[in-house]
Amino acid sequence: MKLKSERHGSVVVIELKGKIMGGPDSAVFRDELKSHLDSGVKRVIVDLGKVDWMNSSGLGILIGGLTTVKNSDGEMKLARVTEKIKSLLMITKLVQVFESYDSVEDAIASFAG
Amino acid sequence: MKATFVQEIDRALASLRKFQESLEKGSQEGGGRAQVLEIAGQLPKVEQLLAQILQGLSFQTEFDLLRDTALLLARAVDEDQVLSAILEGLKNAIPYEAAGIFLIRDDPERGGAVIRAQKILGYPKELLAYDKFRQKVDEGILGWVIRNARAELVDNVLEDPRYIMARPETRSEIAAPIISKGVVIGCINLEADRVGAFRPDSLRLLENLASYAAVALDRAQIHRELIQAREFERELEIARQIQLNLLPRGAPRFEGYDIAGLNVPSLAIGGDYYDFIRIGSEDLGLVVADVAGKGVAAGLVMSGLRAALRARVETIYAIKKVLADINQFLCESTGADRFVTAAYGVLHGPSGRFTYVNAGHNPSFLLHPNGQEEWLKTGGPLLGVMTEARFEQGFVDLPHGCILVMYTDGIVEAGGDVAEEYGGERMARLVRTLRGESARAIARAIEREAVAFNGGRGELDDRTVIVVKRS
Repeated sequence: MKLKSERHGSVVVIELKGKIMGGPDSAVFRDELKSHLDSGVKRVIVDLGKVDWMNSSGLGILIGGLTTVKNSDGEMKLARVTEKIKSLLMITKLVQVFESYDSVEDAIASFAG
Repeated sequence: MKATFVQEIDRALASLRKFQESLEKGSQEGGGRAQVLEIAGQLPKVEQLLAQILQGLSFQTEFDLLRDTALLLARAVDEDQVLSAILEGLKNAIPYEAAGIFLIRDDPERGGAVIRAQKILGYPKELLAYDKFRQKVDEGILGWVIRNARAELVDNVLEDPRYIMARPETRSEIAAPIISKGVVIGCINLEADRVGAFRPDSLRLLENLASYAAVALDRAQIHRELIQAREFERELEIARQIQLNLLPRGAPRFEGYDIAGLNVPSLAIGGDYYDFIRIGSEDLGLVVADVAGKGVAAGLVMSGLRAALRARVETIYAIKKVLADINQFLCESTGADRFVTAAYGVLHGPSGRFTYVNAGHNPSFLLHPNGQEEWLKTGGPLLGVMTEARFEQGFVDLPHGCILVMYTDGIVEAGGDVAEEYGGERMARLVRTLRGESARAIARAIEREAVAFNGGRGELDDRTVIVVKRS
């Protein structure tokens, strides 16, 4: 897994790339989230457009991330969810938990207002 | 021995000098003065000769010490023995009253690195006690030696502002850093009761011995890590055995049905779980679950899940209540990123009614005798994440001649991390071709085909399959 963050005003977009399969990736993602939350950025978008593959352990990373953000009174939304991840979210019924958008722009716009 | 000899020569020289002085005084009163003066004249030469012997002796001692220590190091002996031998041996080459090997240790209580006595001779014993001596690395002469990675000789410690007293009799001190792989890990230190007891040329010898000590300490560290790794492997093997014992030994005999289950973990300790639980005489609980992650942590969650499930199944019949309870239990007892997906159902033997809940798991597959396919999706979300999760129960009547397949994502996602995944459709097609086979043969064939599909390209996950055939 690779990870890149970009600020858009009060929102941070974290782009995940490659395979997301749990293990050490989990701590990397959590540390990244924490650094944004600690600096006062509480609106997080996770861009999954470039994720090649995710398994159920990888899903744990997103769930853990959501909990971390919520515990800091923040919000985390998903953008550009690939078919594979969509089917994982369907099977696990996590679609109810994650707010997701087709594009990063839509996700950013959802925070306005 | 050699040290005593050196001291004897020193003493002899001193008495000769005294004799010379008395002769010089006495000679002014007459008698044999020229002869006495002649002897006296030779004294500087004797002194010079003795000094040469002395130097040779100390050279021989140093050489012996280095050689003996190297030989000791070459034989695989423990660190304690080598460090003792170094300190004992040094006594001949550089006479001292107290000696110690000190190592840097992290000490959160004192807020950083401290210097701890590892091996001491001649110091008060309390120096080894943890509470008594925890000098910080930025303190004392030892601290200076460690920080600067340089040997140091102090003729009179009482005049040195860096000095911290460890034994009251000490007047002079010599110390060298112990350097391992370019990093200072401690120091070797000698103390004497006499001012100016150490010679500058002893610094080099001490540095050499310090490097031997570094080798001994390094090797001991590697040895300890090896033992720890073996210990860990042993514990892992025990954990694996415990986990294996938690899985069913064989398939249950259940009248009118042919049932089989199999589990192939991808690591020593997997995160998959399956079970057959008898409820009364007519019902059989069937469960397939996947704990996110692998290894000991996942194994622990798995055994907790098993215990929770078995305890509740026997008292609560409503399946959705069982799952809701287990969800609550997992929410309370695991971290946010650890969760479980499970397919759980109870099969009533005589009627063939299968009551089930799919908790965020891959839907079980039912192949009807007429070729119709059904995926059992009713249920709720995965377990251990949402405290208020609600679950619905699904019902299906298993007709005679049907095949029910419960499985984990390790089967259907095989190969998916590099290309296309094996997928439910392929599995369903395979099951169609195996209708005449036993439940055991079908389960094996599914697992084998998934592995073959992956073809060694991707990372295989744990693979678990339960097959139920109604005759």
